[in-house]
Amino acid sequence: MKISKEDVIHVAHLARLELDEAAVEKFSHQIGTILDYVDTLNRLDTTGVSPTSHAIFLTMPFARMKSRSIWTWNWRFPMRRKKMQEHFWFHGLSDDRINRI
Amino acid sequence: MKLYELTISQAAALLSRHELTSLELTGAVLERIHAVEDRVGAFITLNDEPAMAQAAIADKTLSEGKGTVLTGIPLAIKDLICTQGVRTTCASRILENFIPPYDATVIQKLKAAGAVLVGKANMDEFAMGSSTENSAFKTTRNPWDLSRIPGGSSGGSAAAVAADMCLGSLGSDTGGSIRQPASHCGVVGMKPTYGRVSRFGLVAFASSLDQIGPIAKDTRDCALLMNAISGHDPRDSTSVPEPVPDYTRFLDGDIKGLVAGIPKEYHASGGLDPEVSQAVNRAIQTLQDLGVRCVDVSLPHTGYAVAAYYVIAPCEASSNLARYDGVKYGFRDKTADTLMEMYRNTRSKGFGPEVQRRIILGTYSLSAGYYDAYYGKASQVRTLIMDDLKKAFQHCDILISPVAPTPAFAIGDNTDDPLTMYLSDIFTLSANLAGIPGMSVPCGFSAKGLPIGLQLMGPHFSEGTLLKTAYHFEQTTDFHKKKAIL
Repeated sequence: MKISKEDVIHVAHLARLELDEAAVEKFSHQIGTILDYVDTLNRLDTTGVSPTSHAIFLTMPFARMKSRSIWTWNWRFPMRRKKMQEHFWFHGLSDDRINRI
Repeated sequence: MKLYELTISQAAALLSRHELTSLELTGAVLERIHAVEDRVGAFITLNDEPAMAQAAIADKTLSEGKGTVLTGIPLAIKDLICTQGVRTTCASRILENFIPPYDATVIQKLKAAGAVLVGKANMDEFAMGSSTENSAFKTTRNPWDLSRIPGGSSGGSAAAVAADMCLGSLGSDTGGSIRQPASHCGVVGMKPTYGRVSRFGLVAFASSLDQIGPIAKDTRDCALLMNAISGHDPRDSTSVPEPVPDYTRFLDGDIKGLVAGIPKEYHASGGLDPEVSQAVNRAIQTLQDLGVRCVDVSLPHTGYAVAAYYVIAPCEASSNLARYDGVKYGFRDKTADTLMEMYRNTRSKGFGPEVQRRIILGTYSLSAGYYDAYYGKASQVRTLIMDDLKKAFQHCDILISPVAPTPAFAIGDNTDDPLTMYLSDIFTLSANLAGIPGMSVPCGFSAKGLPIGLQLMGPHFSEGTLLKTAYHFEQTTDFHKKKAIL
């Protein structure tokens, strides 16, 4: 069996689940069986194989982060200069910006 | 023919010629639902009055000579697709009373097309299951044999179409959850390419695998529903900005010379029921008679798909379902004295056993010391499975396989053996791992009269080719025309 009852209780705690004794017994057996089956993956040599987390090639739709002088944005917001000095300012995302990335 | 037995294209023709009103059609469908729902159990929430109001609006639109092919057509929606003002439970106690404040993009599109939404269809809780036995509310029964499962997780959506409780429906497919119930219920179901249909408003199970798709009485209806729901959506960052063709235009195209790959690993599968194997082989022969050239291909990592999937999907689920903590959504346990106790009680009482099992499996696989051994390894194997498919599609246009290894099994047969249940997904999982489209089309019946489905899969964005092949197959067979007797 791949997963002990103590492990099930610990993982259930991490997942914020409360299990009674019968559920711990059942899950440790069932999950153990599943993990034994999952171990068949270890028969494959995956050295040098890149992992895939996404089935379709997509560019991440986030703006590139660029550092810039705080004076740049202070110049843009002269009326709020004092207040803005306490904050960072980021460009918002618009469809247009996403398409240009 | 009874009104509720019409296909979408038949009903649309009658509606456009003003030989039928949506009020008559929707009324007939709702009557049908009330007549058979206690036996089939396809719906969690019925939408009677709003549906009749939508039908009246549709009739007005049609009387003005406006509208689309879906205007006035009664459809069912899997209960994990958000519908503004209509309860969306995911078949879970934790969302039992959740009423979304917005529509999913697919619902917006269907409403804009004038469709009538008759109700929210039953499913396995949070789409985790292959039998619809994991619903917190009821077990849906297969209209062809009420002692058997309809498949899952979109079992309510497929059973509703098979039992004429709607003219078409939407399901979602994370590992076969549209194709397998479509196969078991003798209807047509399509899992589109990942990113083809917006997931905005689809309650997430495993975000890199989930995809919304149609379930219909025949392939033409499937194409019509695909036309309505496909397309790029800026609100879904994984939606692909690829133009949407008119899928009905593919149907009459020629399939002579099309090359179909027969994966030898699928057909050599030890657990494949002889009746399923025979039905699929007969279907291959029919396609060959239509001019399709069949070639043997190999997908050497097929045997690892179930293991990779049942690491990746629970890992994503354990992360996605962390949001159900009693604070932001749905059910909250009110007996707890501390915040931590409230979290634990809410989630333990709100989630059913299958969901808890997958959360624990996913949390364990992602925990320190096990991440590389489980999630990292499974993600690498996913790459190998995708590479197998890419190589296969260098030699063929589509792949042909069974959908499920057996016809629908009896209710209760596999409830205590999750691994056996998971292994029944062997033929459908690879399409989700690789993000490719797949569909199920009826190709025969077992000796006990249970439907058997043929699976067609193709490269990314090849839905048109799959629909064309399925349509030509339908024209020479009548499996899709047979009706379950209730």
